[in-house]
Amino acid sequence: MDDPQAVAVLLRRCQAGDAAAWEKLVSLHHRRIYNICYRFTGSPHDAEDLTQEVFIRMYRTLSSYDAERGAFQTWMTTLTRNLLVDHFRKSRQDRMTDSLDAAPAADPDAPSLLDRLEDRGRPTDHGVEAREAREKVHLALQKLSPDLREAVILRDLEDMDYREIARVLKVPEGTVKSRINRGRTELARALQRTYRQGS
Amino acid sequence: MNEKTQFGCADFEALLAEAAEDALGAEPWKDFKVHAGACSRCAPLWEEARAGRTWLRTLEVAAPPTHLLRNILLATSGLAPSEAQAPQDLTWKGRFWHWLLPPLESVWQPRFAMSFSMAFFSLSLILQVSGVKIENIRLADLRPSTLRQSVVKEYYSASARFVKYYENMRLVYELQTRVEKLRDAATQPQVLSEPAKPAEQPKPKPQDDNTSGQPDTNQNQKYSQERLPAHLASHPRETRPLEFTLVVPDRSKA
Repeated sequence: MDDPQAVAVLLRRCQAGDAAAWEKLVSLHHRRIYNICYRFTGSPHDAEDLTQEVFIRMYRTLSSYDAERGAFQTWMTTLTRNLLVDHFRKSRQDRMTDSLDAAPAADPDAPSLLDRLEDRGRPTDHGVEAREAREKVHLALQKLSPDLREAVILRDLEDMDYREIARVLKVPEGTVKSRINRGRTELARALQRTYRQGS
Repeated sequence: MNEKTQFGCADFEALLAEAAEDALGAEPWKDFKVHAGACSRCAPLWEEARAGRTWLRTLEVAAPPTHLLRNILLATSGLAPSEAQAPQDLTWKGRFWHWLLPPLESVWQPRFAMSFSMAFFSLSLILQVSGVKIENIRLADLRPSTLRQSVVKEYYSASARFVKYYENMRLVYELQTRVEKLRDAATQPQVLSEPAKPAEQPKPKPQDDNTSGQPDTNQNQKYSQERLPAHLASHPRETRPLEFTLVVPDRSKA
């Protein structure tokens, strides 16, 4: 459904009140929206509620969408991001952000990040370890500040290009790249601390 | 150190995001790599950015709950997925289940199953205790007149059992009372034959300020003490046989 023409036809049908077209649109995009919400909030329940809220708002404002002003995916992601920011402001649950300046404890014998990644990437039958590693990444993602978190989610999880992200976040591309860099480095440091505490 | 390549830390940071994604061209990548190897401040940033990107790419797409699509459609268009796109290739049996299942989805949950099983268990227990056997029930038994008759029959049967039990208990208590009276009558002469004790000074009666009309509590206690088994057991044993005279009232005279 990346074909712009097919999307435009589907959207026209939805705007005309075609229930089947609306169902198709929801079934095509609800997984992606849920994933963004889940990675941002860290809670499956909040993600479920927010995904539903996104589509309710989309259903009400679909007639205001103008294809000439941007891609539908960007419009939908912007809608999602605005709701996530509102939700974050209401809940204020994740203000415990690790500082970028927090110096990691010097341990010359500790394996480097890439060594850990290579260890984790070995072909093993330890599915549990892989799942735990993913869980640690997910938790470390929640420690990032919302600005950095949304940037890395949109880039590294949703594969949106910098221009689209800049449009969604309403910041220049340079700021987007800077946030992505900081998000990745802070995530790596948080994971390094987690593994150091665990070992 | 950066004069050599004319590639500064600001350039490095501008290219860091794309470099971590292996999206740099050959020329900028070469400058980037040289700077990353030479600058002590940028080298760890490069390693961390690359590691962070790699970690993030390990995250899988989170699967939404199965009911989410249905909830969204119900909250927006008001139509369930099955209604929006009705399956055309189903048989009549499949269509029936397709029509029947969605309303039952909310009922088919563990808590409802638990409630139903508890209700079934309670009902079967009640039937078993009350002696009702399902296999013995005929269609004729379910007529209102039959149900009424059976209820009346059960009522009188139960009340007759209760009355019989009550009568039996009454007979036992009457016999027990008679025996106690006879025993008291037998022990009375022994008590009278004891030497007379000097007359005690009558104790001053407590001021009767009981205006409730109820008997004194002391009196009740005396009555109860007369029937204590321990009190009866303390009496001396009779050496001579007891003689009873049974007085039967002559009803013919009356």
